[in-house]
Amino acid sequence: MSELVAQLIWNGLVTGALIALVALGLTLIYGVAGFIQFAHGEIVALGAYSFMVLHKLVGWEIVPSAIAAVISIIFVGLILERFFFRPVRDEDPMVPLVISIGLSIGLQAVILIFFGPNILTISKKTFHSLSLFGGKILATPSQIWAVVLAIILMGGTILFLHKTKIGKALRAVASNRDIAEVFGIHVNTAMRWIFGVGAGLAAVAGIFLGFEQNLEPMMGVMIAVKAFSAVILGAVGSVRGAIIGAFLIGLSESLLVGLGIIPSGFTAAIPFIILIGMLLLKPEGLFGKRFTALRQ
Amino acid sequence: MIEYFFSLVIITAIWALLAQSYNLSFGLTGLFNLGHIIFYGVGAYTAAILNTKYGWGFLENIGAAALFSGIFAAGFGLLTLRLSGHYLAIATLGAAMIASVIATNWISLTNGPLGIRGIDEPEIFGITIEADSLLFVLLYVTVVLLVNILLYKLFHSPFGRLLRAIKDDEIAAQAAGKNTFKAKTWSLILSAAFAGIAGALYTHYRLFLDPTIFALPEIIVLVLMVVVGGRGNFWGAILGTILVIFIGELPRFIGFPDSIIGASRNIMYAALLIGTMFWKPKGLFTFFEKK
Repeated sequence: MSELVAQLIWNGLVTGALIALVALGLTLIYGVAGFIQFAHGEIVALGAYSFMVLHKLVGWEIVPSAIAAVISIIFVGLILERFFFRPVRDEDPMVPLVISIGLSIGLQAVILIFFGPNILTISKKTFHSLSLFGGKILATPSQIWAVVLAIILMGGTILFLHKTKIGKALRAVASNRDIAEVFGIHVNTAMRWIFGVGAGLAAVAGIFLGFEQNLEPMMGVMIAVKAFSAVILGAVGSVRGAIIGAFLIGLSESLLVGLGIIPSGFTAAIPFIILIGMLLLKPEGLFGKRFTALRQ
Repeated sequence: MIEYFFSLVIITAIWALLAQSYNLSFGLTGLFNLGHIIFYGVGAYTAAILNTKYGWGFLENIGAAALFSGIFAAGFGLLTLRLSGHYLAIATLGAAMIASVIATNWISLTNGPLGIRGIDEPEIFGITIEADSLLFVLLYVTVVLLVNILLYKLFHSPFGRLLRAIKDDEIAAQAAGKNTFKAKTWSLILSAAFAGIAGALYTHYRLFLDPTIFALPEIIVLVLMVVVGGRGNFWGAILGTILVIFIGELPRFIGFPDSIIGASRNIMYAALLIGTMFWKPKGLFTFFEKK
């Protein structure tokens, strides 16, 4: 029993770490730019595909292809910001949101045309045995890297927002764009940073997701939808809230299904059952009062 | 060829009704409800189950679907309408995913992913109306027209103006002594009832129903129709529906290979959506409005 529980906790942690990386970018974009970026899942998918191309088709080693993939996806994020979101920045938030829905279906279609509907894989899984959470568990090297790197990146993002000049500027823009601009903060620069960082984090998540599951054009949809839930769970715009929400979703999904509390057919519904339950009890988000937008 | 044309008219009519019902809650009242497809699906399943298990006919099913979707929406509204903006959007999108999961897993009721087959064609006064016949087109266009006239009256009634006021400024509407929660709930219930009718029409046309009716692409097409035409604009939703269905058929006309028809259609949808947002963020129908 404890072996099983330990394994389920590990699986939940891995899923939670990946959701957290995606949710982090979403919550940053929401906090600073003020809308939910529906195409964020497709950025995750593009990360996985570009890594797959460099690693399997071009034949680079894992680390250089991962770095190159993340850098190229950061550029994709910057391009999206420049050409699709900047021109409508001062419109009703519904406008960029609808544009991101359009980008989401458009990018999926582009991936489908380039790579076809066939399911692709990055690598075969090799499991290592570890002792963790009071039992022996099986974990792949990529899972261990995913959890370690996700924790480093989450800590890094929080430090970045609080300790660097740019991070403080981003929080100022999140708190009041007009006043920040009056104080000499370039809103364009802030937006570039937020979309670049968000895309980079999503690309990292995409690369690790590519090791966990097959590559297909819609692979980003499910994790993005879970990340939306995580963001809302922790109060939109809150960084720590989104991270806690992500792990809550990852762990509860793994434990509830693994222990047979909820039949596996209902897996896809779990994040939303938690979300809707929470919204009914605490409509302002789990940490709504304490962790307000990007301040904590 | 004429059958293909008829089938396009029928599909456009069903979608026009669904888009117009969505226009009531999303466009006019400003409820960003991404789960509207649930009411369409509930209506479709109501009609399919009542028809195959209890032998109910076309007209009874339309009534039952409207009633059941409306009641369902009352419960749905009590749960979600305390939320607003992005919270409402994500919670209702989640509700659509839950609906899809339930329809897939509640085998005894919905027959799961295999779907419900053997639904009867519409029968009016003892005459069976075959799909893609002229009579079928007339029947569906009549039903959709009648409901749309009702919706037109609703859009331009005092209640419709209250809904528009809620979208523009809910607090001001409250200050004017209006119970906005009640108005929003009614808007959702009516919108759901009309979507339920569209669902019943779909069931009796396709004669087959499976859980993909709740799928994400359907939600996006629905948002597309209302947003492209113009949110809250009665004629906008109709224009949006016709435009989206026409564009969706283009790849087939141009003769793209089958393997990329779906993808090229989505790219055109994306271009239409993004182009509208850049060019006419209030919808393409603003072209025809007086300055």
